[in-house]
Amino acid sequence: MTLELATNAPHNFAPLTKPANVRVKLLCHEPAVAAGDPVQAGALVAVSVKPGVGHMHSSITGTVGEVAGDYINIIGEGGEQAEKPETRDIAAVRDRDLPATLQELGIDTNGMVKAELLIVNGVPPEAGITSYSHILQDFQSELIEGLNLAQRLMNPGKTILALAQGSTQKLNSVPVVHVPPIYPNGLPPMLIKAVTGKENPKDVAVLGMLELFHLGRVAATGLPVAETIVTVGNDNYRAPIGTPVQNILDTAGLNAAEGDRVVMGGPLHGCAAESLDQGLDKTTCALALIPKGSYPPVTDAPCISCGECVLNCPARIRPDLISRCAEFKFFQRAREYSLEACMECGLCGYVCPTRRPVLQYIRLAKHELELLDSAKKAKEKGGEQ
Amino acid sequence: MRPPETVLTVSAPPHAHCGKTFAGMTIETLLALVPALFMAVVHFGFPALRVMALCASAAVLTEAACSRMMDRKPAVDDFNALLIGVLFAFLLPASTPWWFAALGSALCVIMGKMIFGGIGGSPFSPVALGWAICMISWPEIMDANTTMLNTELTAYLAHLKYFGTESVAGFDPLALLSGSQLGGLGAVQVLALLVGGAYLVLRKIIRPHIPLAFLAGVYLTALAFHLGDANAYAPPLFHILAGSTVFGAFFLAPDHSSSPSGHASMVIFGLLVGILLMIIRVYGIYPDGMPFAVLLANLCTPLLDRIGPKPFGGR
Repeated sequence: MTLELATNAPHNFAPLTKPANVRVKLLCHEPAVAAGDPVQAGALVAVSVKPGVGHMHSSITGTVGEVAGDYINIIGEGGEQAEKPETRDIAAVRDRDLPATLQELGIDTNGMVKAELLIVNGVPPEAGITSYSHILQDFQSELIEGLNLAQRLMNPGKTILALAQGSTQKLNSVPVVHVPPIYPNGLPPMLIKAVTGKENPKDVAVLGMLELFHLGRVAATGLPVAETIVTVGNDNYRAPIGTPVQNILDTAGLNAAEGDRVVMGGPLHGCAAESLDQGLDKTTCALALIPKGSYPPVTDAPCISCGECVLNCPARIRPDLISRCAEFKFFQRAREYSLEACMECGLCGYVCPTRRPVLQYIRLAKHELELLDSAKKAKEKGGEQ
Repeated sequence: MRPPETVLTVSAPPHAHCGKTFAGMTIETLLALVPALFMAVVHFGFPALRVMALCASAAVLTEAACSRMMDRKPAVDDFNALLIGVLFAFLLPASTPWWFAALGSALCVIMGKMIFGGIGGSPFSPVALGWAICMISWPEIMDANTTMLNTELTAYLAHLKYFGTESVAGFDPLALLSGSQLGGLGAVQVLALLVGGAYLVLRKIIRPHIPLAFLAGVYLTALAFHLGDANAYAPPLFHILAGSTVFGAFFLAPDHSSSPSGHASMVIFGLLVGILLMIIRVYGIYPDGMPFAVLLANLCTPLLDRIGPKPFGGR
């Protein structure tokens, strides 16, 4: 099954109507504001409890509406009286203080570690997503600043820009490697293999185009990460982080009806939005509306061993056997079929004729094994004491 | 918390699908059998149609009854029972009595599919298994050579087995291709089955590995025998065109749950069926033991399934 990745596909930058409110997602964050607080654009609204995950900031000026467990709603009215956030001078920050400073400015520094080879990922993550090539086309200066910052952080011996075959774009004088324009070559493990020829080598880091864009904006403005670029159909929108998906769909002229799926990311490994009020994340680069009934529905059918998933799996594991193990709760046995190598591309479920939720089974098995492992570790620790 | 105005579907990825469903694949397989079905009626007339209808309906009714008894909701892909019935009918002589056609078809479904829990659970090709049970229990009824007396057609493989290579020396490939031979009513319609098989491979319903490896296995083994002693063993082309070789290659051996899944495994499996078929034809008592070869290779499928590339990242 070859899913072609767009190279020089037609795409435009379209204006987005300013959102009336933004909904900032809280993953592992503690709120730092309360309902009714006025906030300026760039103000801190939530502090991350996990190292390496950036803090969350308001992307618009307004008043905090609702503070819930997993989101903070900020309404775009008032707020001018609040204190303006301070602009940081990134160039003046010491190298060893950079990770902490960037975390305070909303950058996820998890993947930005010391590496021998830094690959800038310009390959579209999925078929139809053109935001990466758009950023490369229109935001060269931001990308160059972001790359300088990334190179300060990660000190790579070599930097390479990876693009889909057929793309004529470039970034300054960074050497370009073209990879076959087929899904899932945009996913980091496959990208690294296409560039280096090795699978899961050490000392290689991949930075997405959107991440570089954020680094560049932070370096240029000294203010926290505030916006993202999303592809919807043939258009790209520059949207404040937290813009409700309803806004973007309305601007794009799309109508989500009852039972439809609004997917944040691409259809193969993106996340379905829970409601039309859900806001865009930092990492959202596309939005897809999948009407109800577009595809045959998922069923709890048994696996017929047709082997389609096995023949299409880029990680060369056995999704059919793993899904059977997960179905019957033989999670330990799933390890024998190499489920750790799964890169969650979703091709297995895409080709399954009986419409089994294969990727979901694999994720279930991974999750259960994680729980079993941590329980085992806790027991061993308790036993030692 | 008030419910949202528009309730969206929230599910795990992937949110798209290639469009190929199991029911669709089964229907296309049935479509691929239509040329052979047509040729069977041309050669054997109404009796052939009768046998096919009996087998198909018996299979469907048996599956419905078994699902009821097993307290399972009837499978939505019910075309699968229909397919099993039609495939089984293709292996029967046109002169099969009504009760045998129905009983054999029911055995295919019960012993080859339902007893293992329905689709996906059977380690054997259901049609091959039912055929084997019938062949061993009622060899006279299953032998087209003894039952089809009112026909001019020759059972080439039976002649080869009992009268030696001289009796089939002047065989006409075109006659064999067009189905002018005695055997299973649909299985001998070689050209029609090749057309159907090519359709399946081009539509990607089945992968080419098993059929091509099967035919290669038959050809190479027959060639080895023929080159060893041309007087004792028939030429390889004869073995490909006579009997149910082509039928087994495209419709029986690639059965999903009984055949392995990886590239190398499928090729080895196909070669194995081909080699076993020739060994059965040369050394066994059956003139054409294609379903036996398939069953023997099915026994090796779990082992063959272990053959495969290392996962991403090496270990």
